[in-house]
Amino acid sequence: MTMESVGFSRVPAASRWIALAVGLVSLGVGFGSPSVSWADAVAGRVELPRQLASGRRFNGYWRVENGTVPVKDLPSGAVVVLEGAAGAAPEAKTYAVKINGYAPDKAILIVGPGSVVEITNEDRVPHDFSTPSDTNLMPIERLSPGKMRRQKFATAGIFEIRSAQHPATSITVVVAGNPHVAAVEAGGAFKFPNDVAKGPVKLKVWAKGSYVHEETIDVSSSSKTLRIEVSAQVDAAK
Amino acid sequence: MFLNKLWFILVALTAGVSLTVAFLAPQSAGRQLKQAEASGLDRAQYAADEMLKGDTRKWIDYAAGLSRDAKITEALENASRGAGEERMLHESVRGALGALLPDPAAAGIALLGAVDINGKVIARIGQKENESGDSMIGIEVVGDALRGFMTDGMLSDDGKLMRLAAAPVLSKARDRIVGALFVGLAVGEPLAQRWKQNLGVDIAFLLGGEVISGTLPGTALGSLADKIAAHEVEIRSNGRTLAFEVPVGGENFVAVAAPFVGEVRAQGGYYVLLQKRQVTLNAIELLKNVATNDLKELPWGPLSLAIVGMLVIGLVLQAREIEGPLKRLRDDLQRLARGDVQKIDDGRHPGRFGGIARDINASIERFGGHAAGDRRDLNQMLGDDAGRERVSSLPPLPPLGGPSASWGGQAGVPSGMLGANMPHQAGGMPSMGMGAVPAANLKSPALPSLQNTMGQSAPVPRMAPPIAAPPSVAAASPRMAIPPGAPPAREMDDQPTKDMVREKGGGAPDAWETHVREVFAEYVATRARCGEPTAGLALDKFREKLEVNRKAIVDKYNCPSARFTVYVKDGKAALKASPLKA
Repeated sequence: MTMESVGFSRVPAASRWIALAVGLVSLGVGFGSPSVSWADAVAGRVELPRQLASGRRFNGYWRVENGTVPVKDLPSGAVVVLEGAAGAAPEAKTYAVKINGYAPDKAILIVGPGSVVEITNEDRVPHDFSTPSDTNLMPIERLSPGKMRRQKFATAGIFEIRSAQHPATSITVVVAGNPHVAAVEAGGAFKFPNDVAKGPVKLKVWAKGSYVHEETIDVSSSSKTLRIEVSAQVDAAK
Repeated sequence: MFLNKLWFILVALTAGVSLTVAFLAPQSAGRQLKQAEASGLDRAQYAADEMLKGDTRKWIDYAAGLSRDAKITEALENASRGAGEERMLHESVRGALGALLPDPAAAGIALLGAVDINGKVIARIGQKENESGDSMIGIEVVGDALRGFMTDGMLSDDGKLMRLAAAPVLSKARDRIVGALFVGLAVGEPLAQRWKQNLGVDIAFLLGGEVISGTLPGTALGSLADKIAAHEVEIRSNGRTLAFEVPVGGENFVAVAAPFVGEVRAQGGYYVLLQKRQVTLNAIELLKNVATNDLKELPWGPLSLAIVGMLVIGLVLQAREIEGPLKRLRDDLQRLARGDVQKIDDGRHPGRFGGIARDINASIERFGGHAAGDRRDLNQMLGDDAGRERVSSLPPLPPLGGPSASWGGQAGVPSGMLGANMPHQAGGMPSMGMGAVPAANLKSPALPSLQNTMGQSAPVPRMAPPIAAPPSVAAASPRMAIPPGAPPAREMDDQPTKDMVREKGGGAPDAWETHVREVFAEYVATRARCGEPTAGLALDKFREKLEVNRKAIVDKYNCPSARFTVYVKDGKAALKASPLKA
């Protein structure tokens, strides 16, 4: 696994003391000067291997561009989280998701603990939804056309709700324990919605059913652009 | 014997090694066969995957070809613009698809359809032909085609496997995507049969833990899904399982399973290649499976040569170390029996045969020492009383040792037998004793001429060459003895020999008659010399007794004749008989 960070680096233990001292000094200065911030906005770009970068959940043998008009790919569906970072978790809310044409209108939901997801099946066919990674959380249950199913997500974690008939029909529910969760857009760009407190923190990348990358970063400099390269040696199909 | 033993050890070792190889080789062969089966299935799986891949590309191209149809393009362009009545568009596209593919089933197509830019089905044939307006945007293959990709995938449709290939439909101006066209192909028994024909292995298709089709009965493959689940780690890392065994209807099969591509992978969609496991190999099973061609391929020449060579070596060694020495020993024994030699030359006989020869020689020496004690008088055989009467008056003759004694050992007639053949004489016949002469006395001086003792010119009988007599036979060898004090049977005149010879001979006597006469003369002379009375000795009676003894000896030893010699024992004349060799 390789990692290249711009503005962030892994910090030796000795340097952390220096950083702490600098931080304390800054804290003192901060009290005297309100213009100095405690945290920074963090953004970056995730470079995923081909099998993860595709917006398709399940690949076939061929995926060839038509050669005449430009193709448009879906976002990869990857999510970047800062584990253990300080900050309040999102509020618990109710999120409505409609399934139409075997596709959810919201493929990724970033919610707070205690949130409820309401899934409405607008297809002509039934869907047996469940969370395969934790069948106790959401046991498989048939959702007939026109019906709605509610599912509460009490604890933090990333869950995939999947249709048994059409596994590609899935919803990723990210129950965030802090506000630092970002969905990776097409092309790999991401941006945490909230400023991240300075200091070391663990960054994890979740894609297509599992965490595919993690590293410790240090939000300590003025630069806030991350470049995260995910190894190709990950299992993309689960 | 040493080489023989060595050879037998070598043969036994060879046999042992051959048997070991015969029992071990099948094990190794079986293992290699299993590996070969496994690698064969691996190759078959690779080939199946390539076939799927190639076939899929063909159908993608087919969909791309159909997507360029003008009617379809126009209808989808209108649909994407929201222009046109939905029902009309449906009929238009359905008609166009029907015209392009009049008989989808014949082409192996289960589904052919077109969607607009939003993924809404405009028309389809093969399935739900009368339905339209439903969205397929979430079907990844269709969604990818709407984003400009020509692609494929697999999905499940009501518990059936379906391959899907799709291509975007471009506007007439070819500047934008206006929809997509997709082709669905059933994955079932026809495909399994085709694969079996091409790959030479059985095929099974699984979905959701169930065998949905294949070339083997699904009920016989009940445990297949569980077996595959046990190899999930291999599938994740290798894209397929390693070869594993699976029972199929009481038989053992080896199988390799690989997941299908597309979303059916998450639904337990697998194709499995199965091959019947070869029978467990052992030497007997191998022999059972021998075919005529196998025999033809055997290197009969070298094999025969090796077998014949082994036989020849074995026979040569046997002849050299057993048969030959045995024959030599037997020859020597026969020579010994014939009296050609006094003892066996054990130096001629190697190993244990030499030991046997030495044992025989030792026995000869031992029993030869006792032979004297075992002698029996011919008188006893002939009848003691008569013999004493007739012979006792004869003068004793000088002892005759030597050659005949050895024959007496070899060919001596048992006294009982001779006694039976030579009944007691009422008178006139001298009693005779027959016996073996000890080996020490075999070389006797030349027999004195009868002329010297009897005043006749009859030649002295030739004696057999000195040989060693086997002790057992020598012990039984008869001899002639004249018991002391036996009263003469009748009186003899002073010139008995001549008279007797004349009396019997008449004309020219044959060899036997000559011998009889010579012996008689010798006997009379010996008796006279020993101071025994000779009166009453008659040639006829003498001849008669000798004849009887001769016949007995001839019958017993199958010899042409017998010879009689006169000797002195205990100061009295005695006779001994020995077979005459041919």
